[in-house]
This record gives sequence, C-alpha cells and structure tokens, in this order.
Amino acid sequence: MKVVKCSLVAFIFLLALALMQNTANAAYFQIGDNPLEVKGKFQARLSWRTVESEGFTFPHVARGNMVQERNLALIEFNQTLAKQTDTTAEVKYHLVGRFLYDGIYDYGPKAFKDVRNSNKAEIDNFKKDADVWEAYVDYTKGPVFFRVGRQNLSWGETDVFRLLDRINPLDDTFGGSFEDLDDRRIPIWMARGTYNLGNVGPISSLSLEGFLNPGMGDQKVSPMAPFGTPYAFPAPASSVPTRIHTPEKTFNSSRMGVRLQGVLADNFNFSLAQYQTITDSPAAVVTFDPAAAGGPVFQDLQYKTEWITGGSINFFEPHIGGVIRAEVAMFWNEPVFIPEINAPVLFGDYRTGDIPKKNVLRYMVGLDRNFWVRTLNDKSMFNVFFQYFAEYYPSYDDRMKIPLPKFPTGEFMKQVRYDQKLTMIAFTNYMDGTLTPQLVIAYDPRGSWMYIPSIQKFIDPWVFKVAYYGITGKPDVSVGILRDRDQASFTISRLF
Amino acid sequence: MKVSRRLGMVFLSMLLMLSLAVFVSAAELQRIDRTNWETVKGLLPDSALKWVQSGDMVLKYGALDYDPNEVLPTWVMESKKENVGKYKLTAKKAIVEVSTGKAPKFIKGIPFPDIKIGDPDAADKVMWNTFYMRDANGPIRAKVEFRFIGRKTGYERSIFLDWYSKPFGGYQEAENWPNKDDFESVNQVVVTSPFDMAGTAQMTWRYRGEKEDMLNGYVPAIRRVRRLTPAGRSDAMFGSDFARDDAGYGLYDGAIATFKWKIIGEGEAIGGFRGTKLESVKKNKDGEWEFDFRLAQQDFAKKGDSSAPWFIDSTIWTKRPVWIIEGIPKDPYYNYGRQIMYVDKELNIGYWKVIYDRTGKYWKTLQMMWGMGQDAQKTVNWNAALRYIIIDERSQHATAVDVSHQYITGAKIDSNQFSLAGFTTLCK
Repeated sequence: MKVVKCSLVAFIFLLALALMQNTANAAYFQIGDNPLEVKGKFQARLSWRTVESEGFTFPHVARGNMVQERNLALIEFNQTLAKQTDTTAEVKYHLVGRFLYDGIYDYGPKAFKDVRNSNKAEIDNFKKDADVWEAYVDYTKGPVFFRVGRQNLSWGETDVFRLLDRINPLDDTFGGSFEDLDDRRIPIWMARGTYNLGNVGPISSLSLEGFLNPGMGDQKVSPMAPFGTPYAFPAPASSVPTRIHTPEKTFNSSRMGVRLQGVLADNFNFSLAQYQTITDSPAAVVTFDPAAAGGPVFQDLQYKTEWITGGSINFFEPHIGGVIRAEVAMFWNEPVFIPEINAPVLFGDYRTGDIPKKNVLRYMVGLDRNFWVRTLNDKSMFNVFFQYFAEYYPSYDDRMKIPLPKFPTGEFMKQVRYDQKLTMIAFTNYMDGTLTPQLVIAYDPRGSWMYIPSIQKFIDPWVFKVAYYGITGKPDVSVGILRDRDQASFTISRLF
Repeated sequence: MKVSRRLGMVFLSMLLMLSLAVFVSAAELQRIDRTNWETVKGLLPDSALKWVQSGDMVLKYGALDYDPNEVLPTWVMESKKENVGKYKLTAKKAIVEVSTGKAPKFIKGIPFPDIKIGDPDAADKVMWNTFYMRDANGPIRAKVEFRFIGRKTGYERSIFLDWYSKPFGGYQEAENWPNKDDFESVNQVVVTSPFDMAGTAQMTWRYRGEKEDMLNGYVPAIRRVRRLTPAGRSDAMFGSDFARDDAGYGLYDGAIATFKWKIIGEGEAIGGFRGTKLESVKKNKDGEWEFDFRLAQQDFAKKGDSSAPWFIDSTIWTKRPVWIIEGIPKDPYYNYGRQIMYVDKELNIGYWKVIYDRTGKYWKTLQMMWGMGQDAQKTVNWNAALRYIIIDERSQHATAVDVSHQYITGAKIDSNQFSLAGFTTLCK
C-alpha cells in the first residue's frame, strides 16, 4: 500500500510540475545522467448528431443531440537508461498512461442514460478506462533492435483503411472510421525484433523484422460497441443470447509474423510480410444447443486467427513528381458469412452452424503528391494523397452476405465479389504551421461517400479542432451503413 | 612589510595588465546602430542594412580575438594544399577526379580550395565547399530549437528536435567507414516536443554522383515510415519561415545541380560569431566533442537594444572576405526565386542569404551566427552553425533555429541508425 501511495504521490507531483509549464513542451527531470522526459495531453471532445437516426439505429437520437463527450488524458514518460557505444547497447523505456471517460451516459441525452440504466454493468465498464496504455523497453546494439512490451506495430502503406496493417486490434467503438487510425489502435503485449542486414546484392538497407504476441496471454481483440451506444452498428437487439469467444489461449493463437524490407535500385522501397493476426470482426455463428442454460439458440461471435501474406512498394516517380505506393495481400481462410451455413437455424434447420472461410485478395494503389497553389498559400504546399482500394474473392459464393440486416426487411446485406473504394486526404497549413485545414474523402462507387472536413488551430499549449463527419449514400453499401451517424465535433486539447 | 608591499605591487600590475587587455578588446568592438550605420554600409546586404538604419538591429562590430582561418579542423587545413586541382565537376555538377574522371571514393576536407572567379563552375564549387565544410566536422548530434517570433507577438512557441548526421566525406575518419550505398551524407531530424508533433521524423540519404536524394518521413499518426517527395524542400518546415533547403553551412542544403549558380561579386562582409573568443569544446565520456554553449544560452536569453524581437545583440560582427553568389532554382515549382548568398572565402561558411520570390520581389533574409570551437589543449578545432535567423519581411515574422542546447561533433552514431530499420526504431 505504501509503495502504491508513494508512486501515486510521485506521479501527481511530476504531473503538477509538467503542467506548471505554460507551453506545450515536455518537462525534463534530471535523474542520474539521463533526463526523464514527461509529456502528455488532456483532451475533451464533444460531438453532436446532425442527422436524424433511421433504420435499426438504436436509440433514435434527434438531430442536435450530443452523442459523445469523451475525455482523454495521456501521460508519457521517456528515458534513455544507457547510450549506445562501441561496447554497450542503448536501452530506453517508454511508458504511457491513458485515462478515458465518456460522460454521455451520465449527463447526456436521456436516450443514452436509458441505455446505461438498462445495461449498467456493461455500459459502466465501457464508458471509462484507466490503463497502462503503452509500456516497452527498447534495446539497440549495432544492427540488432528489440522492443518488448505493450506497443503498436504498423506495417504497410495505406491510410484511412487498413490492409497489411492489421497486427494491432482496433477500437471502433467511439467513432469507427471517423477517427484517426492511430487513435483507434490498441497496443498489445509483444516482443519485436529487427536485424539490419545492410546491403545484400542489389538490395540496400535490407532488414528482417519479426514479432510475437503470445496467444497464451491476455489476447486483446477489437471490441464491439455495446447495443445502444452511439457507434454501434445498426441492428436490432439480438433476440437470443450473444456469447463472445476469443481465440484459445495457446501458442497457435499467437499474433506473429516476419517481414523483409529493403531498397532496390536506390529508389524502390519494398517489403514482404507473412503474419498471423486475429480478425477485426468476429465471425458470427448460430449455435443450437438445447441442453445449454439460456438456450437453445445462441449467437456466438468468434474471433478467429488468420494468416496474411503480402507486400508493398513505394517509389518516387520524377515525371509526375509524386510518390507511387502499392500494397497487396492475400488473407487466407478469412471467415465469411453465408447465412445458410453460419445460421441454419434461420432456415428451419435446427443445428449448429459452421464458419465458412474464403481467401480474400486485397490491394491498394496510391499516389502522393505535394504542390504549390500560391494564390491560396504562398508559404506551405498542399499535400494530397490518393488511394484506390480493392477487395476480391477468388472463390466467391453468391450466398455470401454481410452479417448486418437491411432496414426494414431484415435481410442480410449483400457481400459483393469485387469491392472498391477511393480515398483522398488533402491538407496544408497556415499561420506559421498553427492552422491546419484538412479534408478526407472516401468513396465507394456502388454509392456511398464519407467526407471529413476539419480545421485545427494550435495556440500554445492548446489545440482546438472543429470537424464535420458526414456519410451519404446507400445504407447497404460500405460506409453508407452508418449514414445516419453524421456529426459535428469540437475537440479541445491541452498539451504539456 | 616590504614583502607585502612588493606582493601588492605585483598584484596591482597584474590587475592593470588585465584591465588593459579587457579595455583593448572592448575598444575593438564598436556599437553600430541607427546613428552610425554608415560604418557598415557595403558590408552587409541592403535588407540587413535597413534593419540597422531603422533600429531593428544593433550590432557589436569589431575583431575576434583569434583568426578563424587558423582554427579549422586539421584535415581541412591539409586539404587546402592537397586538393588543389585534384577535382572537377561534371556537366551535372557532380565531383570527379581530374586524373580519372571518376567519382572519388573519399574527399578529405574541402574539394576545391582554389576558386578562380573566371571558372564557369566557380560558384558551384564554392557551394560544394560549404557542404564539405559541414561534413568535415564529422557526425553531429544536436538538440535544436525552432523558435517562432512575431514582431508584435514576440516569442510565440518552440518546436524541439534532435538532429543526427553522418558524412562520408570531408571528415578524416570517414575514409575508413564502409559505404556500400555510396552515400555522400545521411541525416535524421526527429521532433521531440510539443506532444502532438513528437515522433515526427525525416531521414535524408544523399548519394554521391547524380542520384536523387531519398527522403523518408515517419508520421506518428499512421505509425509508419512514409516515402516523401524531394519536391518539398522549399516547403516551410513545421510551418516556420525556414525551408528545408535553408539549412546547410552555405545556407543551402539541396542538390547543387538543381540550381544555376553564379559568382556575382566578391569583397568583404560582416559575419556573425558568438563572442570574440573561441568556444570551449570538451571530450565527453564517450569520446565525443561537446561544445560548451552555456554562455551562448545566457546570451540568447538576454533582451538587447535591437528593437526587433528576433535579434541577439551579443553576436559579434566581424569583417570577413566573401564570395557573393547568386542561385536561381531550375525547378519551376520551387517556392523561392533568386537567392543571394554571402559565403566566407576562407572558412567556406555562409553569413547571409537574401531570398526573392518567383516574381523577383524581395521576401526574406537569413543570417547565421557561428561558433568556432577549440579544446583547452588546442589539439582539435571544430565549428558549429550556432544559430540561424530567417526573417520574413512580408509577414514580419521570424524563425530562429538554435543549437545551443546540445551540440556534439565527432559523435559516435552507429551507421545502422540511418538504415530504414534503424529509422523506425527512433520512432514510437
């Protein structure tokens, strides 16, 4: 108890000292030869729904109602314990504490208070969190690097949507695609190592990287938003009990993989990767078990592992003055949803379903370009990143569906054989880098759009951001599934 | 009594001699302000002269207590003899050996100690010398502060970053380093503060010969290394008044071949130094040479008589022989137009850069302050680009880039750090 109290006192003391700075710069405390860096942020975000709820969305929230009052505190510690010399390694650590609380269930619209009242335990657990968010130690000696601890690892070349970058689970419960990918990534406990092989034949800067997140430990998965929360998928409450199954705690369920990356002909950055991860969305199967308590029918959501083989490349193309990047990956035996197989009960066939699997090919081609539009900004360039995403099922089955019901019929949405999306991110900055307008657009040619214009202003040590998140288009196409979730947000952050 | 009187006399004499020495040094420093600006007319760009005339800038003008040409790294001094006539430039402005026509494996010190004004490549050679003068200081590890300063607002904010660089030429020890990639130099910039920018990083691989630079950036928001285009070199760094190409010993850090260079004059100009005396440099426990910039930090914190909030009055301005060089970008999309650099003929460092926009109108002026360092035993000499100040006259805003927090030359930086894998390990 004494140790905990002392640690808490020390933590509060350090935090107070750091906050005494009236600028957004880190605070440093000299401990022995190596300074301890302390920094972080407090953030509050308010979001208001700007369209009326429709379809299966629950609860129905009128336009203008608050749907998010999210408070976040991050405090980060960094210290180098030993510097690399000819005989010694560099050792340093990184620690981030995260504290989270969403107030809409306590003082938001009545609809969300009612959601909490009807499901107190789950919502009370969902609305707040205090965690050691990241905690790792780095070891570097010559060509060898290890990072062990709770961390994020991101491979691949894509923005907005993930392709090869599926190592860490994502938390989509507080905004889904509305939120930056990095804000949604959930760090996991892993050991990661890199060995720099240097020049090998025509390849320079060749390196081998591997990681292991042991399946025997606490396997984090992408959480599902509880029924009735603002960013849950639109679906009626399940009429049968729902059970969630994470992978078995065995080594075979580990997230693990290797990647080779290097540079070819001094221009082509490439990578090849093979890894096992856990699917972002659980596979749904309906179980028929008359003997089970609460039965006989259950909706079982099972998080499955899957292997991914892929690669990426980027290079500068001088004729167009931009960077071209591409990524391709085969997702082996990815669980799919075929109602007749996953949920035979729905068709009067009273038996437990199965989880069919298909290989899925996903790829992206992108172009990054920055250029001057001096009439609009004579000091900073405009940066524009384009991407074309595609998804293809080589062994497509006409019966494949997305396990979400169409309104009002309740029939499942169609999974197409070949799906595509286009994205664009554009931004520049003004006022000496303190004002950043940005536009993100995602378009599905089958008929849905997502657009996120935002503007951010930095007034040391505060950051203010105003954003609009809009979705339009068909309610059964891609992002259009969430087309009644348009919102405006205001975020204020205090950095230290 | 007799003994104490004698001792007293000796003490008094010493005191007198000391005060004379101080008096002599102080007497050599003249305050230049709006009342006597004519003293420095013709010794600095017109844009800077206007600052003195208006009271924006007050100068301390005079002689240094040392000859900076005598405190260059040994291998630079040697190269001034050994490299005469040894190298030439190709049509694409790459350096080759005169004897073989091939790119040299290693260049010691500066490649072109003998600049001749009639040489059509003279200006390119001066710029190459400035590149190698920086490289001659070996691997550098520094803590850099970007200070944003407005005329009305004063100090606004800072961005802190770590700088790492490793040359493969110029510096004596580099001759023995493996360099299969045929790099000319490599460098990394990693932002450490404020919180929302921390982790943003950029790595540049500059190749020998005619290959384009390769730039990679680490973006914390996507937690990945992202390939960058070279087109952004005239873009504002972190939204500051400073572009990536404004760095470098010659006030230009891009590819030499992307500009048309011409010597448009030579003569004398005043260059800025921190103090009349050499900076102290000490070997740290890792065998690296660390500048002791505590005095510089004290100087930078003082508010002087200059009315513009971005000038440091403690800079000592001294007359130096310079080349005046004009650079015009070949890239039609480069954000700057014509630029005029004032580069020291002997030291191969820059003092002033005047920047015009693409329509030919005057836009910014960049000035540099230097620190020349020597250890107590006078065995090694180093120099540091201590402070850049760039003033955007249209917006009346300046950015000061300051390395006084930590500056280490001869730094022990493992080459693996500059690989793609090593780059990602710097990042979160």
